[in-house]
This record gives sequence, C-alpha cells and structure tokens, in this order.
Amino acid sequence: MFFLQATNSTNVTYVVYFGTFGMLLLAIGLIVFIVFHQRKVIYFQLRMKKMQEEQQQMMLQASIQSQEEERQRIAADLHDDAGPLLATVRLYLNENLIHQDQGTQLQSIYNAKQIIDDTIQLIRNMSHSLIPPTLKNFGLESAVNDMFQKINGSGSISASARFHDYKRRLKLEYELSIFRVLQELVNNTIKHSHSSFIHLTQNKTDQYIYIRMHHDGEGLTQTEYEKLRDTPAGMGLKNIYSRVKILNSKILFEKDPSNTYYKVTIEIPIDAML
Amino acid sequence: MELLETIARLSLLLPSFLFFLRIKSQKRENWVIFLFLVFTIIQQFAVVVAIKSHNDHISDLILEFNPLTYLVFLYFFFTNVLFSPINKRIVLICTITFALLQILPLTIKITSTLYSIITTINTLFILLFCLLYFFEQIRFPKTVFIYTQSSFWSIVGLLVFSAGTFFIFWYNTIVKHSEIFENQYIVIHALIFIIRNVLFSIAFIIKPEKQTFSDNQLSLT
Repeated sequence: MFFLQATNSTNVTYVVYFGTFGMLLLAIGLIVFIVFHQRKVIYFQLRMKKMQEEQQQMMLQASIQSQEEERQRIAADLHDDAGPLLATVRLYLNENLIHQDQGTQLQSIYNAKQIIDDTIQLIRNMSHSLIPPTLKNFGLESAVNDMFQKINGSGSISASARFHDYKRRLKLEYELSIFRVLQELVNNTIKHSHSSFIHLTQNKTDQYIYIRMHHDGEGLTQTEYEKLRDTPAGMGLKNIYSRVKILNSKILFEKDPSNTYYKVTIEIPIDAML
Repeated sequence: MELLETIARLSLLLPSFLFFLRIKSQKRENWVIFLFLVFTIIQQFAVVVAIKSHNDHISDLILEFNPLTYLVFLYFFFTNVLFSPINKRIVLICTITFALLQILPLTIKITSTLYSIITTINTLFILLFCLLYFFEQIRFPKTVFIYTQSSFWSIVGLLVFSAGTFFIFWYNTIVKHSEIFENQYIVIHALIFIIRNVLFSIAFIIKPEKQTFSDNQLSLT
C-alpha cells in the first residue's frame, strides 16, 4: 500500500530509484543463480560420465584379463599335459615298431591306446571346465547340485541347494553366466569365509528369479562389495559384476540382522532370459 | 533527455542489423524477437511523428495498446522456447487474461490506480514467463551451458527490461504532470531499453555451443 500512497514527488523519486535498483538486483541475482546452478549440474553430470567410463574401462580390463587367464590355462594344459602324452604315443608308434616282435608290438599298441585314452579324458576335462556337461545337458539346478556334491566330498564344508521352482530352463548362455557367478561366489566363500555351510535357494515370482546363497562365515556387505569391486585386486568381484550386468540383473550382498550369517541375493528378470 | 531518448530509439537498429548478419542460422524464437523489434521501430516512428505533429491522441492510442502487442509477441516467443505443455498453457492463459484486462479500460471507466495495477500485472506475467523458462532449465538440464543459447540472452533482456521498468510503469499513470518523475521515467526507460537491445543483439549473434555428449548418456537413474 505504501507504493500506492507514495504520490509525493520526492517519495516517488526514492521509491522509483530504489525499487528499480532492487528489482534489477533481484533479476540479476536470479540469472546468476540459474547460470551457476546449471553449470554445477553440467559439471556433476560430466563427472558422473567420467566415473562411468572409468568403471566400464575397469570392467573391460577385468574381462580381457579373465579371458587371457583362461586362454593361458588352456594353453598350459595343452602344452604340459596333452603335448607330452601325444609325444609319448608317437614314441610308441614309431617306424621301428614293424621290425620288432609281435609281443612287443602288441604291448606298444596297448600302451599307446592307454595314453590316447588318457589324452581323450584330459581334453574332455578341459572341455568340461569350459562348459560343464551337466549344465549343458540337465540345466542349472543339476549343475549346482553337482558342484555342491563335489564340495561335500571334500568333507570340510557342507553345501546344499534347493530349487523351489525351476521347471522351465533359461537359455544356456544365461544359465552359464548364472552358474559362473555362483561358482565365483562359492569359491570366494570357500577361500575367504571359513564358513561351515553354504546353502543355496531358488525362488520365482511372475517377473523375477531369485537365487540366494547363505553361509555362516565372514562375508561382504553391499558397501564392501562395491568398494572391493572397484579396486584393481577385486578381479572375481569384477567378473561377478559384469556377468550380473550382462544378465540385466541385480546382486545384493547383506548381513543377516541376526548377525549369524551372510547372504547374497541375485535378482534375475525372467522375461529377457527365456 | 531528448538525446538519450533518441539513442534509445536508435539502439533498436543494432539487434536488427545483427539479425541480418546471421539471418540463415536464426531460430524461430529469434524471428519472433526480430518481428517484435520491427514492430517497435514502426511504433516508435509513429509516436515520434505523432508527437511532432502534436497529435497526442494517436500517440496515446499507440502507447495504450503497447503492452498488449508486447504480450502477444511474448506469447509466441515463449511458446517457442518452453517445451513443457503445462507451461505453454500457463503462458496462453496469462496472455488471454491480460488481453481481457486490456479491454477493461475501453468498456468501463477505471481509476489511474487500477490502470497501474493492470500495467503491473503485465510485468508480473512477463516475470512469470521468465521464471517458467528458468524453472524448465533447472528441472530438465541440458548438456550445454545456458548462456550459450540465444533464447537465454533474449529472456535475460526481457527479464531486465520488465524488472527495470516495473516501478516506472507502476507510477506512470499515478504520477501525472510531474517533471521530476517524467525525467526519471525517461532516464530509466531509455537506459533499460538500450540494455535490452544490447542483450537482444547478443542473442542474435551468439553461436550455439555443440553438445559435448548426448543426452541419453546423462541419465542419472
């Protein structure tokens, strides 16, 4: 109301000058605020993008490294095991064999056959380590049970699995990825947790498959997992992360509120997998 | 005072000239501002001619419809720079409301205070449109800096002009026949008018910065 009443010339002069100055100051303040706020948002987005790129780079490196390690292992198996075996067979089946007596010939052929059988077994084992035949032929449930049976055989840790609803199999490549994640989780548990049991359960809703692994040893929480995953040493965790990402799934590491065990839950969307 | 007024009027030629320099790359919103400047030049010319020929009635009539034409141009400008349909609707509603308020003095006799309020509402609408634009810029941030866009400089021009002339327009109809206020009006209006035209000039010559990365890479979800 003061503004409306200020009709006196002097008052109007003051009101107009100060009012105009104030309004301009407000307008400039608003513009400056918008400009700085927008700059801040853009820089934040750029930083986020850079971080994402760095993480992707690390994942790529981990993936390449894991591939290289796999290749080196196959190369070492072929060179150290299959190579000498085949060389021995060659020795048995050399050209002097025809000049030898029949008994020696039969013995040499028998030895060569034995070594060839061993080589076949060795190559089969190598092939199985690339893709477990149980997984290929009977699915994830059987492959997990098979893996747990072998663990139980060692006697140091008890492993059990219960699949509640896994009637329809997922695509082989997805099953293999899930199996590799589980293998890595189980390996980590055996190596680091000092737990006495591992228990795995599978459940299903309309949209997701949930695979949960419990153990009573020392484990990781989600924060620790994310922290370790981003360190150069966390190779296995990086592989888990990249496989889970490929599966478009989520993984959650948590400690049970009772503090008696740790659990890892993998949430896999069904639609994309079938 | 006359010199300052003349300089202010001549300052309209600067953005018009710069517009032609980069006419091929001008955006639609710049075309609206340019047409508004052309309209203002014609209007100012008509006012000068009317004053020189002592035909106050014509000059008053031109100036009476000035806020409405201004708002109509702004409506087209803001519908081009805003992208939210709700905000565009707000701009439309405000423009229609103001058009109705503008017709009011023609139908009923109103006091000078009410006339001032109508003029103030006009300014408030423009300030609201500017705030809607800034709100959109904060809500949906782009990947280029805001000051590299021509629409930003046009809006800064409009905002500075609206904020700077708010009080002189308010008192324009209340304080009549006061020489002190008239001089004050001319000085402030002319200076703000020149600043606005300079800001429009920047809007016409600014080259939009290329996006450093695409929007889909920026998803924060």
